[in-house]
Amino acid sequence: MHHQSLAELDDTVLAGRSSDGDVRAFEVLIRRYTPLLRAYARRTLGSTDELDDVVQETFITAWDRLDRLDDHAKVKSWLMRILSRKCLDRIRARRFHDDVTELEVAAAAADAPDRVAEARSREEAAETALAELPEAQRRCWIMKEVLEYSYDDIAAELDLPPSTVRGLLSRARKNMIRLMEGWR
Amino acid sequence: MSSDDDTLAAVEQAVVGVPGVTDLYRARPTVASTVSAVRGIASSAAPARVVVDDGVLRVVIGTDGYRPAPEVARAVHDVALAAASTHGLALTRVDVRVARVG
Amino acid sequence: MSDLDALEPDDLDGHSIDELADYLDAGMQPPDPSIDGSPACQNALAAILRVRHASLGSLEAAARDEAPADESWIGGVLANISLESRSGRDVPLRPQSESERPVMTEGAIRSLIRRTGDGVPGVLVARCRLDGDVTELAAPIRVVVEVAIVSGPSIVATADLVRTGVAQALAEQTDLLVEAVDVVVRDLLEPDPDTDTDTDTDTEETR
Repeated sequence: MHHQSLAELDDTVLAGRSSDGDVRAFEVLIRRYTPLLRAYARRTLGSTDELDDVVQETFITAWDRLDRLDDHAKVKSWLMRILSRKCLDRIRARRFHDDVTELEVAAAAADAPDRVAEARSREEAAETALAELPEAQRRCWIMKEVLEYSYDDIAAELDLPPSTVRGLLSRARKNMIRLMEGWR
Repeated sequence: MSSDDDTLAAVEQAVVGVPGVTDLYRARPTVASTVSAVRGIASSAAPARVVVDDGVLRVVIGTDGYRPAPEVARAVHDVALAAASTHGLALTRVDVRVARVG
Repeated sequence: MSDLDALEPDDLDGHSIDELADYLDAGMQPPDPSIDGSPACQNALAAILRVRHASLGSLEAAARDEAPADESWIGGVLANISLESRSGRDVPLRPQSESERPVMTEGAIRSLIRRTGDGVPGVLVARCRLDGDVTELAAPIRVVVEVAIVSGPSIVATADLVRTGVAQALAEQTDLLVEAVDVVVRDLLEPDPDTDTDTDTDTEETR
């Protein structure tokens, strides 16, 4: 074999070998993406005992569905979409009354720009801005921009008409840009 | 005639002893459910990894990657048939599935 | 007052912020001169990119604060993945009596091919597949092995080594009727500076 160890291989090769049944290659993907998946799960579910379980379930599901991944280079966002679905299932199971289905016309809070401006880095500003968005806008924005869902898939996942999703995303984008542009 | 459990345990032990067999898997193998082929592993308490269904024995193995797998599969078939017969179990077929080579 | 307070189509030469986001997603193809040539649109595109980048960056930063995966937790994940789900079709081996029904899983064959190819110096197997009806004994099968090979003068010879190695391994370990083994070089790898010195010395004999 070439001197490169399995741990240095790119996502495309690892995902391809995993799809062919290579458990060692899949293990590298697990190590590589567990921190990112945990970070996403923590933001979505809060810091809870469930984080280990939901990330574990994500990898187990991913292993089973590797043949459905068309573009192996996209394995990172694909893993995050699997995780996101499992997080949403858990949120629904907690019976929180999320206003995901509510036509959200509320704007971001009036003092949101101040909170964003206090951020110490651009990344923190983005995090703060996102937290300031109304729930439905935030969900759609994350699904489109971070998880790379299509508009139709977001609509299906959230059980909303595509036109509603487009409206929410439109507001989310404008809010995010306005809030972020206030940060220096 | 010996009990079914004893028969299956005897068949299992015979299979595990075939040169070239490195692993004996459960019917629905996960990575963790591999029972490594260690001679003398069979105790009557351990659940059997070979299954008999209507005269057909099913076994899932891993081979060492040196001895040709078709040969190993044939040897497993012969040995399983003989061990079953010794314990009064007549088999019509032995289905050997090789899930790993080397 | 920032220009970016103005994010409606009237401010963006008739384009909505969503059209611009979609344009970015499409890699700005096919080129749209009414967007490309509009300073307001260009500003808005840049703003979208900044926000996206910052947001993804914040998640990556949060990931850096997470502990690496714990060894026993990884073991737990691996213990629960099903070998069945990636084992593919059952490939018959040749029975010699009525009571034999031996098969090998496609996954076992792929693993064998991968290990054989990886064993050739300078080679990394990316994907492999068996084309043809492997579930039928003696059906002609074409094996395709996609590899990455170390860049250099020996690429063709190395690919040949993979081809013959795989053909031999399959002949020994399966009863497949292999019509051909196609080795597809998908990527070239950087030579390892520590080990790939032999090609230089070979050409020095005329000194």
